[in-house]
Amino acid sequence: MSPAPASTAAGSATIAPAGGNGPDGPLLTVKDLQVYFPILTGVLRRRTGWVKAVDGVSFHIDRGETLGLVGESGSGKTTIGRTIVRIMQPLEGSIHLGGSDLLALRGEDLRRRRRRFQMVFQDPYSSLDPRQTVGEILAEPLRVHNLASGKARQARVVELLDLVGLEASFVERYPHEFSGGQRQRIGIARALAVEPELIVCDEPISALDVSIQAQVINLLERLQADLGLTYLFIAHDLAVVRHIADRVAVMYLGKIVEVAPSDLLYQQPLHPYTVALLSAVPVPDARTERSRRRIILRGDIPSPANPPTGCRFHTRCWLRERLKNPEICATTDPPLAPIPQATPDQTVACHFASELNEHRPRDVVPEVEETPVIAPVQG
Amino acid sequence: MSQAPAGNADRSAHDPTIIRGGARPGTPLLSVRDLHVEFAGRGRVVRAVRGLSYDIGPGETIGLVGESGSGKSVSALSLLGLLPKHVGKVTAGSAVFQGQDLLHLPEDKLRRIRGARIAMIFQDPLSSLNPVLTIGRQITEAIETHRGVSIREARKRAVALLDLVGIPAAASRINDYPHQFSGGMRQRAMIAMALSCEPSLLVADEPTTALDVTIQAQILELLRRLRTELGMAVLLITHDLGVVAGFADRLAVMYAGRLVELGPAETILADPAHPYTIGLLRSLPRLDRPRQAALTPIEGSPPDLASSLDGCPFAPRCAWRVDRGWTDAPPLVLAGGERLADAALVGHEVACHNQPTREEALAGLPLTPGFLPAPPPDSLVIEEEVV
Repeated sequence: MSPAPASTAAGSATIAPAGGNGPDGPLLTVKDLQVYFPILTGVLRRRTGWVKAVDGVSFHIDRGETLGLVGESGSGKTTIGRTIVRIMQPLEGSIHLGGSDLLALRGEDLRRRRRRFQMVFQDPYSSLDPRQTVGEILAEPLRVHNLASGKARQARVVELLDLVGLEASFVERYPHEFSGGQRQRIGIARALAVEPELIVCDEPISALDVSIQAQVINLLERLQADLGLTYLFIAHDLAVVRHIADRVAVMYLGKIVEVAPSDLLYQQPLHPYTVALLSAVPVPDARTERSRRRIILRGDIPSPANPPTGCRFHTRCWLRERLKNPEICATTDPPLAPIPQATPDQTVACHFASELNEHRPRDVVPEVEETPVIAPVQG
Repeated sequence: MSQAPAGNADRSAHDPTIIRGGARPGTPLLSVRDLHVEFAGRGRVVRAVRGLSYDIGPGETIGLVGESGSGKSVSALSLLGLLPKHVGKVTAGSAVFQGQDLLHLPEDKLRRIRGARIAMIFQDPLSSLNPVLTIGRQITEAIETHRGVSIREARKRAVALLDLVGIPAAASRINDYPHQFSGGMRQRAMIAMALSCEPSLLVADEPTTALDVTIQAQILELLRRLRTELGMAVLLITHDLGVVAGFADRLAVMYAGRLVELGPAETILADPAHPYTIGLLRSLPRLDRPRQAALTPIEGSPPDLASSLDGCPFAPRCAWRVDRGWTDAPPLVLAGGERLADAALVGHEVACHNQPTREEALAGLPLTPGFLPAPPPDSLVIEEEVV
């Protein structure tokens, strides 16, 4: 199993007591997942190192739940999504879906099992075949998985279009005839065709305009309520994730640094990186923005080919700086675990999480105002 | 409901002697009037900008906001003569910058202004930096071209600039090529290049859209500091209402090539008067508000800009639309009704035949008993996205 004992400890902290395999346990259980990409150099393409895209990640998603996975570029969030739907192969770790070991599946078994997990991609322009009509795009998974044929297949295609709010008359049209929002609906309908239990949504709205984003978010929420779907929702937009997710996992450089129920994460973040992320998100309110202070992180995210030792965030950590740079941050990777001051369903990977609140500057995370969305200003 | 005057108030709105939308008193730095831009191709003419007017005062920051296809970027490119040749062209309007009309200047005169007195930064620094020249060479080139100083002097200045924008070890990084910089560093380098001649106007087109949120915060902080130090005006083009909230003095909201709302950022974000602006703000999930059960999207999608759009371009998606909206485009005038007193003071303007009240803006729908959005006239076929 995992070579890093710290991440094993981190894994057990997030796994529900049911163990993840029983019918009442989580739908998806990911344990100690490591996905490395080889760095090949020279004419002989010799491997000279590894990009540690995902480095010991464990989490679970309950049936009917939405887990939001947030992080910046290079955090490994997209790689996790792709590994779960078996587009990428992990180096280590296990992925169980409803009790069966996804990584053990090969060939025909894997192909058949793909019905249970589907993916919705970020780019609705490149993820649909431009030479297929919408009808053909939606009929293909039905044919591949022998779900319906002939008239029944046609009826199912129309039903799918209806499910995502598109007209039946669209069957004969090609992807280029649709707007971005409509294409994303087609992508969602294609994922739904095989009646999956889990849908991995990889930045499903970030290519869309704001006014269209809300339409697609509402659609995803309605489908979840109607069909009992489970979502892994991967995104960089923290406001969108808070809206759609029941729980949120925050990633930094290949590791999960904090997991918490949505509201809790935003009201009481425990990891200094989560605090910095929240402080960086601008809100559309001029007075709040002008009075607000920010934690500006210095520098860029380090390279996952050569991550910092110990806690990976320690090179940019404002809390460590305030604590006069304790040595442990640079030497020991903190496990993801609950802390005594918070509820057990919030876990954090920081040696000093329990001291965060006394050092956290005020006004960095916007206060949640109970006032109406739009309030008149005094002139 | 609004008391917007009927008739062609559009003309008076383009009178260059009128200071618009709460602009600072005094001579504006840039004065755009009735700008029209068209693109021709594939047998269609796309009217991307349809009569745009605004002023920027010296040292002022305007946030030009809108979604894809609203014309916000195209309008800025057209001011600098950067529209794609033979495809896009300015068909009408003027843009007076420090006494000269940019739209009617010969190319060599415009080139002397561009990069020196007006600088531009773009969303994707990689595509606007030359991959085969060092970062230093690209900055010194601008300084040599516009300032006529020696290579040694230009180089000294380039190092100082890279230092100013927060690039560590500037004296050695100056010899790096763009690919050796991270996304955030490239954006800093591009800002250094843009500022090399101390422009009085910086046009920033989605400068942080491609960046991660923590890097975005760094770049906005940097721009905020430089803006104050150099006293320059900024035209910030973005789709992100959060970014403009803390950065812009005034907002200009565009929809389908027109301004629909103009005024102080604080006023528009707290008290939006146009149904489109109201809809945009309601469709956003916000960290500073409690979680909502469901978001309120704007139904439908933006109009086809190749069509004539005689009426109000937002009418097909608007809950407040009245009959007139199908045929007449509403002019941009002071916000009326209960907003009038404040609007006259701060210059809050809106282009709407049937302005929602504050109460309606809060509710997100018309509250007049019995009011129904006007159905399209028989002559109009509307394609609406089914939701």
